[in-house]
Amino acid sequence: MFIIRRSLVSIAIMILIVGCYYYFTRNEEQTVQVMESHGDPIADFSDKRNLVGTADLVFLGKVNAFVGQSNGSKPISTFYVEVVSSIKGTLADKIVQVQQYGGYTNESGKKVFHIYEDDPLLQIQQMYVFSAIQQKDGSLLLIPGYGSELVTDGKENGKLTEYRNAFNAQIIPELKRRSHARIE
Amino acid sequence: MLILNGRKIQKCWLIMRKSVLALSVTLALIANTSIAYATLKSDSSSHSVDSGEIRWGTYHGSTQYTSARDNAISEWDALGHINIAGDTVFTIEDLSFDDYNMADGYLGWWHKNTGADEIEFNEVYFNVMSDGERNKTALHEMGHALNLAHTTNQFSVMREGQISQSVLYQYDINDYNARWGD
Repeated sequence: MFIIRRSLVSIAIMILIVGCYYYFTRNEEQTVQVMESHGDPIADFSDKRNLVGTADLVFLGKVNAFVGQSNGSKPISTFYVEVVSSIKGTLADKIVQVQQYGGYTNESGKKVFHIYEDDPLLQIQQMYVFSAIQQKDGSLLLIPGYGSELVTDGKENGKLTEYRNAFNAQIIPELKRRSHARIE
Repeated sequence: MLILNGRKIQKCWLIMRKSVLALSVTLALIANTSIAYATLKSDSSSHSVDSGEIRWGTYHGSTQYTSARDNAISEWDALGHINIAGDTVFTIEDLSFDDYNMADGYLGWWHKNTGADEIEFNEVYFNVMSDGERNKTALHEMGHALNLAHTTNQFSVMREGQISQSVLYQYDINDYNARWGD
């Protein structure tokens, strides 16, 4: 009995020592500093007609995988998305890559997370309605803050209807027209 | 007496050992739980103000839209609580102005950084905007640098979108005073 008690005390003390070691050495690494970015959009995107009007492509899709992240102080994260249903524009492939502002950097030995308009990074295996602008190089950039609306199980049809209605009544912001006219 | 003391001592020792055991297990559990929890610390100072001022410079580059930049600086600085002035050799730069080119649906951004913060103007749209529209975006981004959030008030530069506005109205002045006033 005495030996058992002694053993239990020894084990408990060992767990305590190991736990404290990890607490003091690992906890620093896991603290991430969050850096926010806030912008001025070309229109009020809380009105989906403006959002759909600004986007070149709007579609329902499921995030398959994280591809990677750009280097530099303003990280852009890239994901593979499986297209479920198209709302605006034509996508040539079933699996597309989308880009989202935001990601992690290492600054002065600390991990920093850059977040744009409180928009968290896409989660793998989740379904979203994506609103993206096609860039000159063909890549698809999600409109920050509004370009990825999470769709929970069973709500897909409702969201599709909502966005299709917005597409039918879309408002193309004047600055999008002006900037496109200049490029052409 | 000695026997009684011996029993008491033995009892105390037993209680102590049980307490040490319980305490050790509890502390070990707490320490190991802390490992699993990754803290996400939001930067509570989401603005560019440092010791009552914003010193702006060219750490991240410069902007071609100097008129919009200067108008924004002038308007916000005139309110008085936060001194907005150029960086010098004796000061630390808090904010830079520069440009970028990306069709992202945004006229400009304010970025909080670990070093100097940044206001960026988007050439894609700025090149086809009027002076008044550029002024509004510059005022808006400087508003973010001063910790002001978006609003739907029709008289505020913090409302979103393509709007021509070159001065601050009372709504923004009130917001600024509420945040930075005495």
